Amino acid sequence: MTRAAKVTYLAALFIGLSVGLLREYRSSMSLLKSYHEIRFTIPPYALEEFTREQYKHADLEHARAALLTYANVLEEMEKAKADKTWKMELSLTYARLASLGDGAADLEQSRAFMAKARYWNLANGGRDMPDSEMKAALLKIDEVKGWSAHQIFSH
Amino acid sequence: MKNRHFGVWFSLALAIFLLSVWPGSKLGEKLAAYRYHSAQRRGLGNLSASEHAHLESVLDELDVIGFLRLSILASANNDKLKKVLPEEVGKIEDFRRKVKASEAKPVADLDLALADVVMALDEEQDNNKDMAKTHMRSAQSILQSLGWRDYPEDTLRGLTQRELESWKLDPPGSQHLK
Repeated sequence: MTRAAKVTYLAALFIGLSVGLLREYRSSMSLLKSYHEIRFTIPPYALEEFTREQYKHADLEHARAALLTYANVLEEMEKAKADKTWKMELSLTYARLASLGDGAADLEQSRAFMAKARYWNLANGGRDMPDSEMKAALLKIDEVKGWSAHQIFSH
Repeated sequence: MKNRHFGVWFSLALAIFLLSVWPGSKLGEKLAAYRYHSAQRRGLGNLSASEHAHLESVLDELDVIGFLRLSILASANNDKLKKVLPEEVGKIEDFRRKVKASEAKPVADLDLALADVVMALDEEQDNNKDMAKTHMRSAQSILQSLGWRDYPEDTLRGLTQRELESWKLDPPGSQHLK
């Protein structure tokens, strides 16, 4: 094989590898970026469904644990990428935690959760509502969104 | 003669070029995945690097659980896919054993309970009453561990049927018939 042939073949190999690498790298990165964008735009579906089912059907302790986990994950997501969706979800989740506290006559905890619900509602650009008004709004929202607590059973 | 040599050279060079595009693209894919994962280990927004890595791993597991749940519901709603239902349930069981994040473990449990009720409904349709009962009991035991206050078979059937209905896709063209 002549030197010119070797150079040509090596060049073909190098150009082929580079073309494949660049093309796939760019398309994979763009896919992964879109995936990352979507992931930080909507609440995690499986966790949201789980929390809703636990809120509706589980006992107080398990329902509270599910809502707290959901709130923690949402707060982390809000820290990662501030978004109105998280603030709204956080406000509703803490209001639901407060309503569980009402059911268990744990008023102190209920007030603490309600304060957090009001904080996130204000952060979302909402007006400062009294607790009673916020709980009434939550009832309506939950009815529409299928979150009505304990539709089949009651605590 | 020179032209013939050039033809051979050129064909070989073209073949090498085309064949090397494939390993190049595999390298590109791996490099993108590596860069994406290393970006996940850096801080994001107000999250520290470790908080970000933890959040990403929780979200990864939740994404898989959500996908497996959809697979079960889609398979149960499609006569052709129904035969792969046991396989789909097996995938949930396998993944449930691998889940590391404490946030995702109970979510996988609820997925498995739903899958068990779907399997029970399927076995009932095929008149396999014993198998249906086994699946139903398994679902009830999981739900009990998740703190459900009441889980009679009829309630679970109703809840699962509603869930299946909500994911039922109308066959193409059926909108016009309504």
